[in-house]
Amino acid sequence: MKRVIFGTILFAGLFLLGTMCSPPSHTEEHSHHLLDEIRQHQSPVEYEGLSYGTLDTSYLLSVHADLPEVEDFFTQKRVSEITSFPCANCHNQPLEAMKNAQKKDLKKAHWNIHMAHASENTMTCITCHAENNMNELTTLTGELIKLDESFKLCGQCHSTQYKDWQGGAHGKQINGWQTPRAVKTCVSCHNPHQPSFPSRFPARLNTNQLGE
Amino acid sequence: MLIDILNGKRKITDFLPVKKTAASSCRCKGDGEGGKSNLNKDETGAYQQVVNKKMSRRKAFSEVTKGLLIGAGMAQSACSMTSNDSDRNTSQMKWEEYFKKNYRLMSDEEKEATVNRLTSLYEKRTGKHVNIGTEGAIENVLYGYAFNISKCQGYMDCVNACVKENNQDRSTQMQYIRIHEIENGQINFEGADDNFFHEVPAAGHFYMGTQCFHCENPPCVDVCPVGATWQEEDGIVVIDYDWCIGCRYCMAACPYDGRRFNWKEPEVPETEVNLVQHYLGNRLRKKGVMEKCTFCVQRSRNGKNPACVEACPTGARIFGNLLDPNSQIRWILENKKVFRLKEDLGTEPKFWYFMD
Repeated sequence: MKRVIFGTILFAGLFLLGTMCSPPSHTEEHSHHLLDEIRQHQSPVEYEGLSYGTLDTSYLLSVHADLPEVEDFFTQKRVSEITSFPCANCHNQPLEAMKNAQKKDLKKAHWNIHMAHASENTMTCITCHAENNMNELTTLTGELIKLDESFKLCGQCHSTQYKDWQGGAHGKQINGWQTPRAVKTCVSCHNPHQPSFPSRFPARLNTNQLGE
Repeated sequence: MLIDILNGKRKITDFLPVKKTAASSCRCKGDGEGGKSNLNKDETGAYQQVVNKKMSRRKAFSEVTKGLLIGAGMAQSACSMTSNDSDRNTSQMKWEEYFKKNYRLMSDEEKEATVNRLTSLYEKRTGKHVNIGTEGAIENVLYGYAFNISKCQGYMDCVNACVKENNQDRSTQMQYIRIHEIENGQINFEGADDNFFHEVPAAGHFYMGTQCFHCENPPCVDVCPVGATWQEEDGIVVIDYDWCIGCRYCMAACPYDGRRFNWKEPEVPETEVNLVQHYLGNRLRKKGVMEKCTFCVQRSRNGKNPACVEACPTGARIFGNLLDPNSQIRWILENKKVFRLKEDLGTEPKFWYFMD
C-alpha cells in the first residue's frame, strides 16, 4: 500500500515538474500575429525626400481603377513607342478596300506578325483593331479605345489578370516600391499578337551545390 | 547556468544577448510609431553585451596597441628610407578599422569616420571611388515581399541581377536566391530540383524562389553570440560584416537556408564591382563572415525595388511597404491566397507566396 501511495506521489511530482519545465508554446509567445499588426496601419504613407520617388508624369497615363479599394495609379503611354504611328499614314482606306485592291498594289506590311493568341474562331485582327479607324482599337461592342489605354481592351477577356494588375498582383512597378504606383502596361511585357512568354534556357546555371 | 539549461528551466537562448521577445517585436502601437520603442531595448541589450563586457577590454587593448603602433611606426619611419606618410596613414587606418565598434553602437561621426576609412582604403587599393551609404530606416516603412509561384518560370534573371548588385563572390558562385523546380501537385523541397539547366518552364513543373525571408522573429538574430546581426526598424535583418566572428550559428538556426558563409576570400572582378554600396548591404565582404539577402538595402532605402524584383521578366516578384495601405503588397495580402513557409515555427517571415 505504502508503495502505491509513494508511486502516486512520485508520479504526480514528476508530472508537475515536467509541466513547469516545459518551454512555453509558440501560441503564447506570439499572440500578436504579424498580419493583424500590419492591418492596423490604415492611413496612407507619405514618402518625402526619396530621391527615386519623384515621378515624371509627362510620359505616364493616370488610371482610375475599377476596384474601389485601389487608389488611382499611373501606367506607361504606348503611342510614343510605336515607330509607324499614326497607322492612318498607310491605312488611308478601309481594310475592305485594301483587301479588294489589285495584287500589285498590295504593300508587304505586317508580314512578320504571327498570331498566336486565341483561335481564329475567337479573334481576328479586327477584334482588337478598329476596322474603320486604324489609329485606334475597338471593344467587342464597337466602342473606340485609344492605343494608350489598350489595357481596357485586354481586360475584356482577361478579367482576372486585369483585376490583379489594378491591385498590383500582376505586372511590374516602374518607379520603385513607393506609392503612388506607376506600373507597366499589358503590352510592355506581352506582345499582343503572341502574348505568352516563350520557353528558353535559364540566364545562368543553378549551382547552389558548389559553394557550400 | 548549465544546470538550469540541462534541467530545462531555461533555454540556451535566455543567456544570449539580444533576445527579442514577441512583445517587443509588436508593431501595433498605432500608425506612426511602427515599432520604434523595441529598438531601444535592442540597443540597450547590445550595448550591455558589447560595451560592459567587452568594450572596456577591447578599448584598452586598442589604446595600448595604438600607442605601440604609433611608437613603432615613428621608429620605423625614422629609420626607413622607403616608408612614407601615405603608408603610415594606411596602416593607421587599418588599425582603426580593426578596433572600431559594432555598427549599432557607433555615433553618426563614428559611422562617417569608418566610411571615410573604408572609402580611402579602397581608393588607395584600386584608384576607384566607392560610395558606402549609411542610410537608416525610412519612417513608417516595414518591407515585405510577395512571390507569385504561378508566374515564376525559372529564367534565373533574378539570380544574375542579385549577384551583380550585391558583389557576391564569383569564385564559389555565391547566390542568395535559390530557384527550386518542383513537380506540379506538391510543395516538397526534398523532391525539388535545384540544379536544373534545360529549357524552362519545364512541362508539369513550377518554380519557387527562396532567399532570406527577413522574419519578424528571426531565430538567426537570437543565436548570434556577438550581436553582429539584428533586425532594423524597417524589418530588414542585417549583418555587421566587421563584427561577425564567422561561427555560423545563424546559418544553423535559419530554418529557410537564407544565410551564406564566405569560406574563402570573396573574388569580384574589379570591373564588375558595384560601387553604390551600403555599410549593412553590398559592401565588399571578407573571408570568414556571413552574408545574405538584405532586400538590397542600398536600393530599397532610396525608394528602388531590390535588384531581383527589377530583373524579374515575369513580374513574379513584388516588393513594398507593409504599413502602406495603398501598396501592392498590402493588396496581395488582402486579396490573394497567400502562404508562407514553415508558418508553424512562429518566425513570421515577411515573404509571402501566392498563386494567380
